Amino acid sequence: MRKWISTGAMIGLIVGLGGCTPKYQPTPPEALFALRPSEGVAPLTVVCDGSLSFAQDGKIVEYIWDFGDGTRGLGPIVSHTYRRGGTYRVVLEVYSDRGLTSKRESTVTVKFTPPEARFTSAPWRPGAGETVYFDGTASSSPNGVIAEYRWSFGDGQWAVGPRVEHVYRTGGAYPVTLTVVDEAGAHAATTQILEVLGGPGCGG
Amino acid sequence: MKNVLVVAAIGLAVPVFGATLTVESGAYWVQVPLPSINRFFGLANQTIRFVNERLEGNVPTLGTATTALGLRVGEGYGDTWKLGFHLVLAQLENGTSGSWRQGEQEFPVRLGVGVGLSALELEFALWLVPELIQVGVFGGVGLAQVRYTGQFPQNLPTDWTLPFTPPVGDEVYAARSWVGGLFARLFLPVRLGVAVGAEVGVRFARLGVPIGPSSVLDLNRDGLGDVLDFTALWLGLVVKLSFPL
Repeated sequence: MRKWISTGAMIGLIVGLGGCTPKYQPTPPEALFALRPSEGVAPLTVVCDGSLSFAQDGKIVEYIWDFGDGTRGLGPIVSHTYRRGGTYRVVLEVYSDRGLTSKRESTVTVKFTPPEARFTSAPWRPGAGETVYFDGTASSSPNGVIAEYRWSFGDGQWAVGPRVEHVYRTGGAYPVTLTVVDEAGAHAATTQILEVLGGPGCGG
Repeated sequence: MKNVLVVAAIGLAVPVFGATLTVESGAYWVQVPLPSINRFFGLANQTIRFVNERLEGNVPTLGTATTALGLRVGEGYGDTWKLGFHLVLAQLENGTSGSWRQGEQEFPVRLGVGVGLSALELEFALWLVPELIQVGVFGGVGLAQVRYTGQFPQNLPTDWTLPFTPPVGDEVYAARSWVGGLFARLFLPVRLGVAVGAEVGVRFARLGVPIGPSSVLDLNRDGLGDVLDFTALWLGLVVKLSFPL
């Protein structure tokens, strides 16, 4: 009798532990991709190849890309063009046919294309004491609008703005420098030598 | 490419009813899914294949580690009941090596993963049918070690960039947890005191995320840590020697 009780207890224990057998849990897919290139100068077209992703259980049925600049894409292999500089977080999220998902991210660094600084001045050969007008509106930037114009007149004076004017009190050759900064923060400068007629003390 | 898992269990029995001394040994087929480790192998293989297609040279891919061979040796005392304890040892090795070339430059690759389990377990066994069918449970403390060796170019020598590359460096991670399981053995007497049999058992050994000197195990580099789960089904052939005391 005692043996049957112990046997029953053992069977009960084993059956109970058997209920703890780990249930089958499908493995989520693995998002993996390659980028080419991952850095460059804007406009930068990046090929995103998500075909490296795999699923040990089932198959991948959906690829969703987040390019990090507010746009998205679908499909295993996509391309995307970044038109402005910056560092972007690229995220690939994959879904398997079992409804499981995973994501992985990388970064794309788009360097700023430097803006181009240009200016004109008038009159061409001003005299001392004469007002010279400078116009930097011909400057341009592929990254957006020019946000700042900084002028250095070569005589220790400076000014800001797309169009400025300046009076040289003495004659001489002055290096005039225009520095522009675009809205992406990229900057460029150009310098022209301005010859002002009239010697020292000849200004009117 | 080596998937070798050797499990050795040595049981030392404690006399309870003191009637028969048994010595058992067995060979086992053990299924160890190791999902987190195999996810790493999958990621590493995809990366290796991608670069193999684009550069000179070759790096063999890693095999999966899902099945293993085991060995168990034990002894115990008792007739109807048996009480003893086991020392369980397990080891898994997997790795690859090779190199890629781009012009004069060479990019060596060497990856190795070794996973070891040792456990000290107490065992209770019962003869359902004397000398024929035995069932039992066991439980104890398990200690796992993961040794990782990684040499891999972090900036791939292609114009492609991948968000995953195998980690670089040599590291040892460890985890400890309670383990346990249950088994059933069917014996066929061959001669007096000698029997052969078959065993089926399940070992529950979810050891958590192993911890290294500077970080947790995260070969997948997903920031979540790799859970080490040795829970496995054991199927084996057993030889038993009995000595009446």
